[in-house]
Amino acid sequence: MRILNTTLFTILLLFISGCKEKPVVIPDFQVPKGERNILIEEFTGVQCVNCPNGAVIIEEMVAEFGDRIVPISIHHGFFAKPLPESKEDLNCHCGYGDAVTSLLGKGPIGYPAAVINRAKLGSKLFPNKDEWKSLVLNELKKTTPVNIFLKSEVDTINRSVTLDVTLAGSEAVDDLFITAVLLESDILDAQILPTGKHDENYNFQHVVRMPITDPAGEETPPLSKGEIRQLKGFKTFTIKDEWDIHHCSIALFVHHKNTTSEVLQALSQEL
Amino acid sequence: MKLTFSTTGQQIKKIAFLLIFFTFSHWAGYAQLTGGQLSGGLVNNTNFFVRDSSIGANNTPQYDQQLIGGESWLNLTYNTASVEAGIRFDLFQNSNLLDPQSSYSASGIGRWYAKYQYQRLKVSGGYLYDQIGSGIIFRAYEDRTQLIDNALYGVKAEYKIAPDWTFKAFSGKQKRLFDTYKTDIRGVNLEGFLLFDSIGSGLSIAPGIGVVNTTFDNKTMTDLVDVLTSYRPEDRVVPTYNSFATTLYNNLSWGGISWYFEWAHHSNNVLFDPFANRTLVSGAEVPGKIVKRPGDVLYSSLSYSRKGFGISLDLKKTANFEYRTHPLLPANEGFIGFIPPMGRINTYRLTARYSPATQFIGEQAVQIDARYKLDKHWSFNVNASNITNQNNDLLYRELYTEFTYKKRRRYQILGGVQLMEYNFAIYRGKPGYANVKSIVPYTEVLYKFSRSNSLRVEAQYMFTAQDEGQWAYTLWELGFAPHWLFEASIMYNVIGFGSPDNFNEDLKHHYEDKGRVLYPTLGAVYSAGSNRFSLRYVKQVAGVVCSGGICRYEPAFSGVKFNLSSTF
Repeated sequence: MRILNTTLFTILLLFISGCKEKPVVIPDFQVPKGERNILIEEFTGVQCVNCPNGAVIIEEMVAEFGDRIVPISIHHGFFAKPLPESKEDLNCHCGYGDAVTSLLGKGPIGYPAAVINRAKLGSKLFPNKDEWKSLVLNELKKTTPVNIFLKSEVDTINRSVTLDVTLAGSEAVDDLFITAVLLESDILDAQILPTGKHDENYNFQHVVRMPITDPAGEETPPLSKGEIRQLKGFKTFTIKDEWDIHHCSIALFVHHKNTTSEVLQALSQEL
Repeated sequence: MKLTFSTTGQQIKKIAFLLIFFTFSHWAGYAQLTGGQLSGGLVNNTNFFVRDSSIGANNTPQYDQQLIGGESWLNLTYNTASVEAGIRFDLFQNSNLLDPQSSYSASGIGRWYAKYQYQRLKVSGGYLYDQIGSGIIFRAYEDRTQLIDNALYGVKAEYKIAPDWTFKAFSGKQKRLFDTYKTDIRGVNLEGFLLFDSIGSGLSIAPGIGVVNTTFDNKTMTDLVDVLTSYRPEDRVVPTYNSFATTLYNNLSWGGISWYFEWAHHSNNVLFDPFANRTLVSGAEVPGKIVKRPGDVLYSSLSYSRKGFGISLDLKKTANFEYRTHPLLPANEGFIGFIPPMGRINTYRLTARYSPATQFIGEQAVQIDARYKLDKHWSFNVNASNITNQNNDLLYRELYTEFTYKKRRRYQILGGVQLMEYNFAIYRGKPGYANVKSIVPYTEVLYKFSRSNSLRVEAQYMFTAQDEGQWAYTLWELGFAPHWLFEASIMYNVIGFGSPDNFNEDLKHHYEDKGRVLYPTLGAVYSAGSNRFSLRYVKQVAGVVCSGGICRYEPAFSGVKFNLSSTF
C-alpha cells in the first residue's frame, strides 16, 4: 500500500510540475501572395453597439490588403432598425441579407458577424471578429479557378450604369453563379457606439444599396479551362437620386450555389 | 429532414457498441434472475412554431418554413452488481435548442458508456460525466435546457486506496454534439474522508486535490498562431500546447456547521479577454484579444443550521479563469470547468428575469442566506448577494425576502419582495446602457380544496424604469392529483404608468417599437406513474435564460409546446 501511495504521489507531482515545452514561433505579419480576392459580408446594424468595432477591423484589412478585400456591409435584422435620429433606413429591404442567410443555411447568432467567402472557415461559418483577419490571411494564399474583370460605363446625366463582365477560367468550373451588388460608402448617419452614445454622423462604408443581379446570384454555364467568356451588357441599372454616385461602387463575385456556397473570386470597383 | 451521423469511423464504432449493448440487453431477461436490471427514459420536446412578428417570433427557419421542430433523448441503462452499461440516442429535428435563431437537425448515438467494478478498482469508458471538487477545474456534465453536453469521451479508472480514500485518473476529449473537440484532457483526483470521533460532535473533513492537463492539437495551435500573427507585436503572446489546472478543496462538518472551501489555479494559459483592448495598425483600439495569464478561483461556502434556523455565507473570487478547450470558442462552448454561480437561483418568472451570468475574467461575489422557522405556521427567508468585477464595479446586487404561512392541509401563502440591480451593459454586452434597478413584490397562494384538488396562484409585478420597463405576471394552476394539472398565465409588458409622453427615452423607444404586449400561456399536464405529458400554448418574451450561472439569449417564442417525459 505504501508503495502504491508513493507511486501515486510521484505521478501527481510530475503532473503538477509538467515539463517545459519548446515555445511556438509567431511569424511576422506579411500580406500573402496569391490571386484570390476575398469577399467579406458583414452583418451589421445601427442599433448594434459592438458593430463599429467590427467595422474598424474590416477597414484595417482594406487599408492593409487593398483591392484584395471586397467588403459588403449588410444592414439586416433587428439591429438594423433605424434609430429615432436616423436620416434613413440603411436596411435596403431588397432581399440581399435574406438571400445570403438562405444560401448559407443559417444567419448569425450575434452581431457583429461576418462570413468570409461564404465558406465555413475553421470550425465556424460566422467566426469571432478576432479571427477575421487570420482567416482572410489564409484565404489570400489560395488560388482561384476563375478570374473576373469588370468594366462599367456610367451615364452621369441619366444615372444609368452598364456593366460588362469577363470571366477567365484557369480551371474548369461548373455550378457557377455571378452576383453583383451596388454599394455606397461615406454615408453619414446615426449609429450607436460601443460607449452606448449615439453618433449622428457616423461614417458608414460599403452599405448594400441594391442587388444588381438576383440577390442569390445568376447562373452562367460551366466554364472550361482557358476559356474567356465576355458578358457584354451584362446588366444595366439606374442609381437612385438620393444615392451619391461618387461614393457608389460595385461588388462583383462568382460563386457556387448548388454544391457549396463558396465564393471563388471577387472584386470591387468604384463608379 | 436531414439525419446525419458525424463520421463513418464513429458510426462503425457506434454500431459495434450497439451490438454489444443489445447483446447485454438480451441477457437482461436472464440477468434479472441474477440481479441485472434494465432501465431507461425517454424525453421528447416538440415545438409547433406560430409566427408572431409583434413579439419578434419570426425570421428563423422554424417560423418561416419548417413550422415544427424538436428534440428527443432515449437512454437505456443496464446494471448488474459489477457492470453498468448505457446508451443514449439523441434526435434533433429542426431544433432551436442549439442555436435559438437557427435550425439544427442531426441524430445518432449521443452517449454510450460501460463501467466495470472489480474489488477496489472501477474502470469506465465511453462518454463519461464526472467532476473534481465543485467542478471548477473539471466538470463533464449535461444541461439540456441549453444543449450543453460536456461529457468526456475517454476512459477513467478509480481505485479505493483506503476505505474512505479514492484516487481517480481520466483521459479523453470533450464531447461536441456528435463529435469531440480536438484538445486532449486528462486529470487525476485524490479525495477522502476523515472522521475525528475523539473531538466529539462528529467533526469530519473531506479533503481533495485534483490536477487537469489540457493539450492543444496542431489545428487549434495553428488557429491561435494565425490569429496572433495578425496582432501587432505588442499585443502578441506565445501560446503553449499544454496547460495545467490544480485545485485543493475540503468540506468540513462539525455539529451544525458545514464549510466547503476550494482554491483552483490554472497555469499561464492563453484565453480570450473580451474587455482587453487590442491596437490595430491604424492605431484604433478594439476590445477583445487573446491574452496569456494565470487564473484563480477562491470559493467558500460556510453554513450553520439548527432546528428551525439556518444561515449560509458564500464567497467567491474569480480572476482570469476562462478555461476552455479552445480559447476562441464562442458563448458557452468548450468550458472544461464550471464555476458555481453566486446569485440566488430564483424560480418566479419576474424575480428570475435578470440573472447574473458567471464572469470568468473577474468576479468578486458574496451571498448570505438566512432561514428561520418561527412556528408550525410561519417561516422566513432573507437572501442578499453582491457581485462586482475585478475593478469593484457593481455587476449584480439583490435583496430577496420571503415569508411563508402554512395552514396545514388547507392553504399556504408565500410572499415577499425582491430588490435588484443588474449591470445590463456587462451581462447583455451593451456598453453604455444603464443598470436595471427593479423592485418585484410577489406572492403565491396554494389552496387545497381536498386531498387531491388544489389551486395555486402566483402574482408578481416588476417596477423598473430601465430596459423594457415594467411587467405584470400572474399564473393560475389547477391540480387534480394524481393525473391532471391545468395552467393559465399572462405576462404583460406594462412598460410604464400613464402616457408614453412621460416615459424616459429608453422606455419611449421600447413603447414605440413594440407597444404594450400581452404574453399568454395555456396548458395542461397529464401524469401517470412515471410518465408525464404536457401540452402548452405559449407566447414567451425574449430574454436571457440562465442555468447554473451559464446564460444565453433566448428569442421570443410563439406556438405550442409538447413535452413527454417517461422513465421505466
